Amino acid sequence: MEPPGSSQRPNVFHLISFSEGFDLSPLFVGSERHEEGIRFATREPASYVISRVALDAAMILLHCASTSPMTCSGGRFRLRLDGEERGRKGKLTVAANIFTMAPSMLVVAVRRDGGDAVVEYKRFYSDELRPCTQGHHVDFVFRRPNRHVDKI
Amino acid sequence: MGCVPSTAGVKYSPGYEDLVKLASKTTFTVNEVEALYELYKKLSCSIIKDGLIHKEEFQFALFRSSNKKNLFADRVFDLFDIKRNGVIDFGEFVRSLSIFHPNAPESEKIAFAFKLYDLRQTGYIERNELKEMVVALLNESDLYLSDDIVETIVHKTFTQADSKGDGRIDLDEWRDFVKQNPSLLRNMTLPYLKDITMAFPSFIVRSEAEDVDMI
Repeated sequence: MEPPGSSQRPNVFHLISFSEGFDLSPLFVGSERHEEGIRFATREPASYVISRVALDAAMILLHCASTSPMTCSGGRFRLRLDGEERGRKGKLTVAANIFTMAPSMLVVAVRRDGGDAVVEYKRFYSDELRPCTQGHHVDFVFRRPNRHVDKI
Repeated sequence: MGCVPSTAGVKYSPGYEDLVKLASKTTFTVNEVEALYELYKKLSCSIIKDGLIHKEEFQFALFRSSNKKNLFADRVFDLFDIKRNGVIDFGEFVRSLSIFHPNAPESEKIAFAFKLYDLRQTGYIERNELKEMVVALLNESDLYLSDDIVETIVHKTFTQADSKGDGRIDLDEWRDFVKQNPSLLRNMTLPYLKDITMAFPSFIVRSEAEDVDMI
């Protein structure tokens, strides 16, 4: 799975759109924001990241059976990982967007794309995804600031 | 309950505006505006119980922290505060959220995003504003990038967008840029707004006229 010509790069407006301040969903869903996933930056080539994410996802309890073919548009690589078993709300689907921000920097955004959020994705997040980003191939993690209840 | 009386009551909060009138001016149905009023009541009474959404209450709703500073949240708040009086009243709340509805015209979304990025409201997105936003995003995410890399990626994007080459991005250039990169508008749509009546059921008993859709 070689990334096709990397001449097309996404732009900084994509990066800016990751801001929590621009995401109004907490107004409606309250504490669900933390399930959005994780973003990390790495200097590994896209193919390595993709195979690594796919491999880790494949090891989870859901027996991830298929990865749909990688699609590329505008310098972003999209990867969908579909869980095989039907969970409580359909199969768990994880989507990863891989942005080539600069010659030596990728930004990967991984999020739940379908399926059960409460149990299955949480398990995937804590057992597979987070440990993956603590590995040596990840340089920076976009950290979610700790949610704390303000003393009002 | 709370500091804002229900719409069934006679007294309305300072921020209240006629629901039917609001629905007619926005992408929302009357039922949806009612549901938004339930949400509004919750937000506008969380800290300062006056029925208006203050900046701290907006920050608290987004971040669970009333004094968390965030450049983009500030911009969103300022744009919602159409009258620029430091608070968001119900009419401003509904009118602004209307733009985020999946069915809202794309032109409105494009214009809103442009105004958001136009930090100093000059009518143009300047290069230093773009860099400022990137730096803000990196700080917020606890991510460090060298100034060289920041300059490189800002320069790359800016020259792509500034097709007229005059050193700033105007609305026309932004519109063209968005057409080439439609995903740039993804923050401008909140799918939750389609299910708002389920998330915030209103307890108003309507007489005969049920869901009166105002087009």
